[in-house]
Amino acid sequence: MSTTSDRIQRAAAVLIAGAVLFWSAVASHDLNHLVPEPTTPAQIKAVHDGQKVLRDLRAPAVDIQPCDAIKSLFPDTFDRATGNTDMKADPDKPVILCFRNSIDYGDALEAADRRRLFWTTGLGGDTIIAFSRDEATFREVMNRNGVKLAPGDLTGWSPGLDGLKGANGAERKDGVWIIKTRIERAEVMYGPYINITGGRHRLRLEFAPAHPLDCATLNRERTWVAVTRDSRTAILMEPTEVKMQPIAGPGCRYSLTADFDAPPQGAQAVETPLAVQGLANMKLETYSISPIAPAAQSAAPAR
Amino acid sequence: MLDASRLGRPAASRAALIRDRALSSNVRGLIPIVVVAALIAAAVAFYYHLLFLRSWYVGGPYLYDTELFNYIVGPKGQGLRMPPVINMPTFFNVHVVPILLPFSFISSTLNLKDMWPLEMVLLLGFSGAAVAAFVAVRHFLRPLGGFLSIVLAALFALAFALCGVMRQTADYPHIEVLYVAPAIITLMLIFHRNFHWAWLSFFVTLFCREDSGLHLACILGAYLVLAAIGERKLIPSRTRDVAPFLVLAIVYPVVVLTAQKWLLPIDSNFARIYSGTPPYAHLNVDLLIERFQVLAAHPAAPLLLIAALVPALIRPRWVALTGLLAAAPWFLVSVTAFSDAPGTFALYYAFPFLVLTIVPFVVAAELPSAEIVYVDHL
Repeated sequence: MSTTSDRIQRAAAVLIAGAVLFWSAVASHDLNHLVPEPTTPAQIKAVHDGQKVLRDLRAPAVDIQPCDAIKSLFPDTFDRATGNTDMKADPDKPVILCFRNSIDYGDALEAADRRRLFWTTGLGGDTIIAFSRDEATFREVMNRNGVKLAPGDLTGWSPGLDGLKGANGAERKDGVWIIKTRIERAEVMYGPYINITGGRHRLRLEFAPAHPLDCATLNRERTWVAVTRDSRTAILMEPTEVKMQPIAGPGCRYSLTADFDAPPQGAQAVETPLAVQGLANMKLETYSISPIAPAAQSAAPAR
Repeated sequence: MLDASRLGRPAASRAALIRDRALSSNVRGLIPIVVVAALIAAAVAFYYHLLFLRSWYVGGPYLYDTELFNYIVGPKGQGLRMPPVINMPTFFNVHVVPILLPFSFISSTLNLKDMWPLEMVLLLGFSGAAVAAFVAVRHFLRPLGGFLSIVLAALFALAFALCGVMRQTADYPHIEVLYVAPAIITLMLIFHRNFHWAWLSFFVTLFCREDSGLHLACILGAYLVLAAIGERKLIPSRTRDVAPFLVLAIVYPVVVLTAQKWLLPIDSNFARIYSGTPPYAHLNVDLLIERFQVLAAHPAAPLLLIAALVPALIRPRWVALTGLLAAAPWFLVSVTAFSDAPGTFALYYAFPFLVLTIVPFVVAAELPSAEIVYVDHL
């Protein structure tokens, strides 16, 4: 027979251990994550079809569609932008495919088998893959355009944490479409919409990693690239100066200051979503962006 | 001792009637447990379904291993074939996980599309872990009576299912969560001396990953050591129950890893992620300090070990420390790892600790008050 003391001990052990687990649960849960944030109509439809309870989805904070954005930059780059693997382009010419929604990645892998996959990366929920049948040419052209491919980079698929590293921006040279990026893990940290006009701007933001892994890697060899993009016109702004440093105090918080040369947008300020590329799984705490007068540029370089 | 042949027919009938009533009572007693377990499974599955949708649509499976697993388990990866672009014939080159084969068969048979092949695996893993925790803790609490034990165990199971490490595993969907439920059930069955089912569950656990046996061996070995200390005997009383499982839990991974090395050669996972090349050249004091700082700031994994310590503090006996002692090898291997992810117990790397949190309740559940080995000398 169990004694009263034994029963109390058992109940107390479960309650206290459960409280510790509950603490762990509360500390690690962002309730906003309970509701998925679909970013494309196809995703929203899929979610709606699958889950009636999600009908009242809140509007996504930022609607960035990288496939559309990159396609608008390079309209003749793509065989397909929807994941259809029936590629009709010249098989000997390197191409870049942009697969709407990562849901199509399985198909992309099958396509890769037919045309040899050399490089894959992601932007804001979509998958972008470069193909070529001629590895030597591909490597030469990529290297010539600033994408440093180490030996072995092209021999297989390098997912996630070990993703390939390149330079910034996207362009077409020597008949090869190249999206040069430093994307290593999650691609962007989403922020609010901001108003921006042409000219030089200084962005300052403070952020904290949402994950211990990022906290560990932040102190290492991460390179920081801030980018704002307009989902309609695909503005990619490369910072001329980037400064990232830890903020004193508890936890693992950082500030980033970056100067941009925004393309001319006309007289009107353009409302564009703020998305900072290179900050994986970061939580944005504060931000500010302001134009820099030419005089101020020389007086206060952001170094 | 009752002997039916010495009883008259009326007496035998009464005995049968008593047995029937006892059986009926047991079945009635199981109904609320089964109902609550089903509700827990449904709630946990629903929650992680939402998280998985987020991971799929927002995080992006291209980024993590999600789509890779989805391909392997799905119709395209029949027999756990790797995607053609990856220069490996099967997933067994990376991890030997036979438990995925039936999932692959089901996916192919039903022609599951989108994220459903992997989601089927993950939801079973998360829900199964929660239900196994519920059953184990409910059994530990059975002296409290039906209603109270079920309520407390259900609350515990929900906290367990939503704890930080579970959440991390869901944010970076991986198959290791499958290991949790069969491991807990195996330990329960061993300590209940229900060996036929224990062997079945034991092999299911081994099939969850090639190193699952080593994690189980840590638990069983730690238990024997602590039981020997508690009983002050070199060979503690449950050795005959535990030893066969302990031996096979060590032999199976050794055989499988050796076979994998010879038959399916790839770069060593251990060298790539844990030891580095040359071995442990990366290790220094600054690295360890940084990692402990990260663990202090993001204590999901340490909190699991604290939870595993609680039963030992409240019911002080040596075997209640089993979970904590069993954590030591994996903790050391991880925190000294070359890669930051296991070094900070990020992602899914703390999955063995999930089982260790439940272990104290399992090993202590079968200790009647009269046999409790108190550690007054602690």
